[in-house]
Amino acid sequence: MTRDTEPFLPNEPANEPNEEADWIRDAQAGDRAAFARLIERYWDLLYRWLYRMTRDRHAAEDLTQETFLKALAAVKSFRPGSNFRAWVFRIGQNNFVNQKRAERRTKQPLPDDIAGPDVNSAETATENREALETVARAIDELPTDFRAALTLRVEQGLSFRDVARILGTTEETARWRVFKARQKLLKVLSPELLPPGAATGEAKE
Amino acid sequence: MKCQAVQNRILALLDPRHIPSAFLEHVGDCAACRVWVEQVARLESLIECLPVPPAPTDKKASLIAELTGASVAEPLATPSRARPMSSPFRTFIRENANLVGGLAAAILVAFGVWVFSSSTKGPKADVAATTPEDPFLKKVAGRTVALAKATTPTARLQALSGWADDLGTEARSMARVASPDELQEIARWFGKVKDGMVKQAETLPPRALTPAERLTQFDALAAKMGDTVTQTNKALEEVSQDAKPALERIRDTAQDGQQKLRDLARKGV
Repeated sequence: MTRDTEPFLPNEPANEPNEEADWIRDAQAGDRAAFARLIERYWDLLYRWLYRMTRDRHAAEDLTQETFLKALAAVKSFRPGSNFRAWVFRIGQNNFVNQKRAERRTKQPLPDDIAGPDVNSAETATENREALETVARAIDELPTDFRAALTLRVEQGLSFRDVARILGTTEETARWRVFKARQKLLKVLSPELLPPGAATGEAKE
Repeated sequence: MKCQAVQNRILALLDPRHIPSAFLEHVGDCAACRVWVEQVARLESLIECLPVPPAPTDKKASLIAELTGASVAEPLATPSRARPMSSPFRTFIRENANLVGGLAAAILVAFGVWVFSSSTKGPKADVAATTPEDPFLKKVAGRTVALAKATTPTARLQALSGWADDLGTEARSMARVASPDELQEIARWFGKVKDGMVKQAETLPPRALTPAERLTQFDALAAKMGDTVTQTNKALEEVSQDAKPALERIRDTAQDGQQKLRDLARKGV
């Protein structure tokens, strides 16, 4: 597997490194309002990922809050210049792991009032929703490590390096987990969801 | 290049929808891989678009509000207040000085001094009217009413126990955002409530409870204090140094209360 250039990551916040660096510096000096700006920037992204991991919006919200509270308490330990988002997500990952050990996870279906955005202009809203539900269920069945890596990479748009930092592993392992997750999803998803010819893992000529 | 090898390389890309030229040649020549690539691209797009339900409450806004609350400190109306606290606790105290006076009176009740001589009609209407939106402050108002309405030592014990729970929980959740002075104020109130509980337990008339009831109820109250000890110890592992003295004070107070309630549970048994 070779490294490849990283294209524009659409889920990244606007690239304003100086502004965020100022907020972090101020927060480390005790400015709570500065930390509040960081929360405003990253709360929704973290909540989204923790919802993907827990499939429970109550648990996801609680974990998000817990993560930012811990981040606030530990903000002085953050190394300026490193990736703040990855640092916060790492705390979130640890919280999720701790919670998973303590509690039984409950799965929830997609809410009825949530309609996914159009992926293809030719698809009806019903077909799109069914496709999203199928993919969501399949992702939910992935091993936790694979699900974490895949959603950080694809949904959150993070680099393999940042995925590795958050999950506490190497970049190669992060890449491998994303690879295996994609491979498993392609295998299990219904032929009706994907056109004929889906990969089965067998070598083809 | 064989199809499986190409497909594996594509799956390992940062984004399988952006295929390097080295693989594009094979994909262009292979109908099966062309279809497969479309499937992978669709899967990747679907994952990106998975919907997420909104959070059930608005903890984000609450936390941001807590961190960006009013910064000007004003002295409080009640003489017992030595230092100001931050919003929303301080705002509530400032705007509800009478209620704070009622809180102090409620604590005094626990020491056997009855102040609510004219409160036989129940809680005053302005309590409900001034109940703030903050969940903790709603609890404060509710506990105050419960304590004011309690007419027996047992009822006052239960009300005070609830108070102690709320204060312990609030201290732990505030430990990461409140100043040390604010946390010490919560610890001070926790001490008062604990003392009130012990006093009520000590002065409970012998005929109010059977020995078995006394043992069960006091042990239950002691167990709740024990929970506060346990939870506070856990919180101490996570908070900053500044927050620790107040939490340690709460923990030690809870330990003292737990022991005294256990002793009182067995007194005369």
